Amino acid sequence: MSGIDEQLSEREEIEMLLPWYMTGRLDEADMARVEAYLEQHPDMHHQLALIAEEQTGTIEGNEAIQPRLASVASLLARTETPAGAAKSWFAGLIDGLKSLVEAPTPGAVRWAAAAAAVIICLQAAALGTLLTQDSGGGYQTASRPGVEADHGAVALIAFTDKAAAADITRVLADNRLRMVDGPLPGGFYSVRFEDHATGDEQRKRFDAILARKDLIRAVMTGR
Amino acid sequence: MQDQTDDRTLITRIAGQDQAALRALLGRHQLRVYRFVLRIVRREAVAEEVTNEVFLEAWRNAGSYEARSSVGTWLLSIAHNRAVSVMRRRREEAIDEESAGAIADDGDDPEVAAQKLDKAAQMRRCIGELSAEHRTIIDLVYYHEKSINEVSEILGIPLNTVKTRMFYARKKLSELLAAAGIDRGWP
Repeated sequence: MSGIDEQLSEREEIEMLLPWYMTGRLDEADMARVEAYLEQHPDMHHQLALIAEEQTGTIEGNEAIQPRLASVASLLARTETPAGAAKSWFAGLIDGLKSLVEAPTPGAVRWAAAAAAVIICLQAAALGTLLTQDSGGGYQTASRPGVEADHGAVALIAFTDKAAAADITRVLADNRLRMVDGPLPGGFYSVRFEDHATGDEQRKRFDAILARKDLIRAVMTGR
Repeated sequence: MQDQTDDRTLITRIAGQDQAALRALLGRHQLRVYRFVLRIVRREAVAEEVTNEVFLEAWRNAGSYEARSSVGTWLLSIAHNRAVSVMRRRREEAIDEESAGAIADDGDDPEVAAQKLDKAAQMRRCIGELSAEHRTIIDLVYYHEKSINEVSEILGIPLNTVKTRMFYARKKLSELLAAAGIDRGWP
């Protein structure tokens, strides 16, 4: 018996078991114990009524959630990527940003490292943009065909301070992009395409997104 | 019991890289896992990605699944770990609640405001206002109908903590309802 158990009265112990009594998930011994107590203490039945209300509310709350699930085909495609397969530098970069935030190091150090990483990202993004604008070649995606392009993050996008949630949702939807993670350090979000867009189509969509200077602060795609 | 046997058969087949078995497992558990994750992370896009990661992890680690718990409990355990990891990251980044993809706050919904007198609606709203820790255990017990042992395994907490956390979650829920004008006569 723990200290907590020793301090609890029989009534309190039974009260704690009631939710599982109601769902029929107590073992036989506890079930018999609760039933015996309820027989001797009919006032406890009020608790069962309260628990029934709580359970109904919980079930209704869950069932109100409309499924928004990725297609099974998309998930199955990911199972075809070997667990130990080499990641693109872009996927590695996203993982790196995440690991900076998750690392069990002091906050100040972590944030300093994250800030440094973001500066590097922005520099890379600026270089990438300049290069593609000069060559007129648009953008390149991070993924090789047929593997990550269908499911992995394909870009990092940062929004302006003025961008409203509705505008962000619309511009992503217009270009068949879905946010898959974020915010990452620097306010970046990772996004991916919802469809099987070709490289040209992806480039067009990123051009369209980057044209929205009122909403988009930076776009970074990779190779 | 038959469902559990079938689930374990599926896991055995998945360990042999059988995609049809994964498809069947998705059909059985994907929606419940998604709802569980969404109630924690509260963002549809994030919940979708975490749900995918749960099944990918199941795909990759099916061979190491030990049938000490049901497959559903195993999946929820993976889901909980991943969702909590996402939440921890977001908390440290002081997330902007107005970002795209966030679940609408019920309190801002005029229809919900009009339902102020509806006790059932108040119950759902108050459950939504619980802390993630309390909401999660309420979901596991009432919606997923997990036993004390299973909740302990999913959340990685002792059995006594499961019981006390559920008790305090219910107590907090009653307090929220009382603040909304619904006196339940308990605690």
